[in-house]
Amino acid sequence: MRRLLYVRSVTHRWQQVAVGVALPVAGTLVGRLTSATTASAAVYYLVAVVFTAMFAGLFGGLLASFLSFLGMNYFFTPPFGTLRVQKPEDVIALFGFLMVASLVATLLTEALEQRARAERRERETLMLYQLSSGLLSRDRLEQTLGRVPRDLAELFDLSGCELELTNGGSSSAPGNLYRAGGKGRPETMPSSIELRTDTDTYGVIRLFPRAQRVLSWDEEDLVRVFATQVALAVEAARLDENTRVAKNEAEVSRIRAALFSSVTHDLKTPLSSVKAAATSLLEKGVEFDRDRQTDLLLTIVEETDRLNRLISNILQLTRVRAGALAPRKVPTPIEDVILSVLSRLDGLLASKDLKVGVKVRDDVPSVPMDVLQIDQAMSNILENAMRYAPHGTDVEIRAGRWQSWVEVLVADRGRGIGKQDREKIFEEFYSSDGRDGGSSGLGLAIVRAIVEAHGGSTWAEETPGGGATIGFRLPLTAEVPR
Amino acid sequence: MIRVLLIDDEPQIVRALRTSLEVRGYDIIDAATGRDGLRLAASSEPDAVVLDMGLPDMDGTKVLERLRAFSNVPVVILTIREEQSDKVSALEAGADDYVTKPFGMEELVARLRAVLRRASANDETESLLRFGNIEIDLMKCLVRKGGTLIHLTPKEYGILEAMVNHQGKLLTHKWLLARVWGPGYDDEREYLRVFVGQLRKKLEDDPSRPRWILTDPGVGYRWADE
Repeated sequence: MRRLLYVRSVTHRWQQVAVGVALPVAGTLVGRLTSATTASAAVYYLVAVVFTAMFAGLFGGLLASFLSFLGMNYFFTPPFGTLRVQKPEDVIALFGFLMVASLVATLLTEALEQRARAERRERETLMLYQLSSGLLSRDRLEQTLGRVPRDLAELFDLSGCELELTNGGSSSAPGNLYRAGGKGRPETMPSSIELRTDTDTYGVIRLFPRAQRVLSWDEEDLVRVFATQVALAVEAARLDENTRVAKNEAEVSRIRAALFSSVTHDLKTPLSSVKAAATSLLEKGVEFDRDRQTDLLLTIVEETDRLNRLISNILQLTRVRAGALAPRKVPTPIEDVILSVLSRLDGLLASKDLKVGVKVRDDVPSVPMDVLQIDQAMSNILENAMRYAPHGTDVEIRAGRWQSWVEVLVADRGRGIGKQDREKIFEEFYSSDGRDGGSSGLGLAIVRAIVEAHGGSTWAEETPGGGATIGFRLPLTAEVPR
Repeated sequence: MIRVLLIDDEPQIVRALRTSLEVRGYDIIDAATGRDGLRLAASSEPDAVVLDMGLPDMDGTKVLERLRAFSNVPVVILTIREEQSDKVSALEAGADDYVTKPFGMEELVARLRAVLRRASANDETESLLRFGNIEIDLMKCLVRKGGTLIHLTPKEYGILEAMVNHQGKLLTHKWLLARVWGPGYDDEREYLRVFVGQLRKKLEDDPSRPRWILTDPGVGYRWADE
């Protein structure tokens, strides 16, 4: 029985008239064919009225009731064939029938309408619930906002719908506009519902209903509640964004401050050594023997080299921060770069009595690289190894091919790097031993930035037998990654 | 007395260079602008020129071009630019070698000696060269290492001969390829890499840490000074 209540009734008047006439006629035919008694005929007519009410709405139902009443009178109440009625009880019965039929039609259509309304309300609520859930997710906010006009138009059968965001109540600059339907001019004036929270107005939803289907009060209320959800979501997203921007700026300030103090220290240290050594040599009334003189002069040379390396690192850092690394790749033998760096750091290596072994396998082709950048990276890695390698130990540099990559490993025999620090050492300003190491913590961070700009990767591992190994991979193909 | 023309606008560098080179017996003249430098180069016929690329009035490359229009004098440039492409451009514009700032004096002196050696080598040819335990007979085209005869292919010998005849001087990939393979091969760096690798294996005590066959990544090769 329930199933029957889900039919849709015809909407046009002429259709309703047609049904309202056809069914009583059908009832009449059935009655005549079966030579029905008055009571049976009443049943046939009532059935007709019920079906008419279901399919042709209230108007159809009432029309059918009236026609059925006439039909009852004419065909099934003596005297047959006339609209006159003989017995008084028949008159009561006839009018009773009319009342019942009309009531049935009315109640039935009302019930159907309520059912339809409830259904609709359920659908609307479900859809709005889904939209609201979409609003809760920050990432999907943009997507959800785009869907709103379309979903609202479908839900309320609108000819068009617009969602317009403004850039905050004070700014008059237009924000984003999402729109659905509305091809050609809208059929009616729109109702506008503001997107509002306690703090601010974030935009407006415009509904363009069809000419024959205006929104009811509760439907508008529903949209209003939904609009508040949208406004809250937009507000939350904007606050999030502001917080993120503020956090970013705070982070940038922090790095600048750290850089500043770190760089100041690292620039002044070698300069201090240079000045100390030079002024010592100039001191009146002090005689340095040849060896001591050489010593002081060597200090000056080494410290200026160190300063030079630091300046290169700082320059690279500014490039990294500006996202301007853009390596200019040229196929270059990796051994050339290794040897070039070793010759530059020769003095430092000798001062710690470190022996460097170089093993480049024969199958390593020339690698596309920005020579200056990879030179800087190798220099930083070696300097790092030298810092931690104990006096008189070996430092091993190995290069080999691994699939479509070239791998370079620099291994020292120092105290190694704990598992928890192996990623951290590549962070800017990370220094495992505070200031004693004499490093601002930039070196390996720059190595990572340079290698990654080439499409490669960096890592740290344990040297078998003790010590740290820093490794990096460079791709052998020449594409620059995005 | 060997005359060296310094073209550099920074008085401290000129002072340091002058002091250092005069002590070694060079005669020094200097100019602070490209224009004055070119004038002096034309009028006083120096044996070598040390040119700073960052001059106030003219781009260093321009000075090189103008200089080369009338003179073959060996030129060593001083540059702050470390990019390979810039060094190669300068070398192709006419510089014979380069030194990047800040430089060690011994490095500049070595470069000067190397480019001057080339110039004077045209006058007297030494046919038997010795480097450590390597012996090269240029007349007979024979190479010995530690007394043992080493067999070199024609290309390998060609590279070796070019490098030792320009000892200490930077030879660009392009120059070496053109000289040993011929014009039109100047892009085939892999050839050079392979042959230089073979030379190192045959001549160096430790090919992975070469003593004689040095490389300037992205620019070229050089036979060690001493």
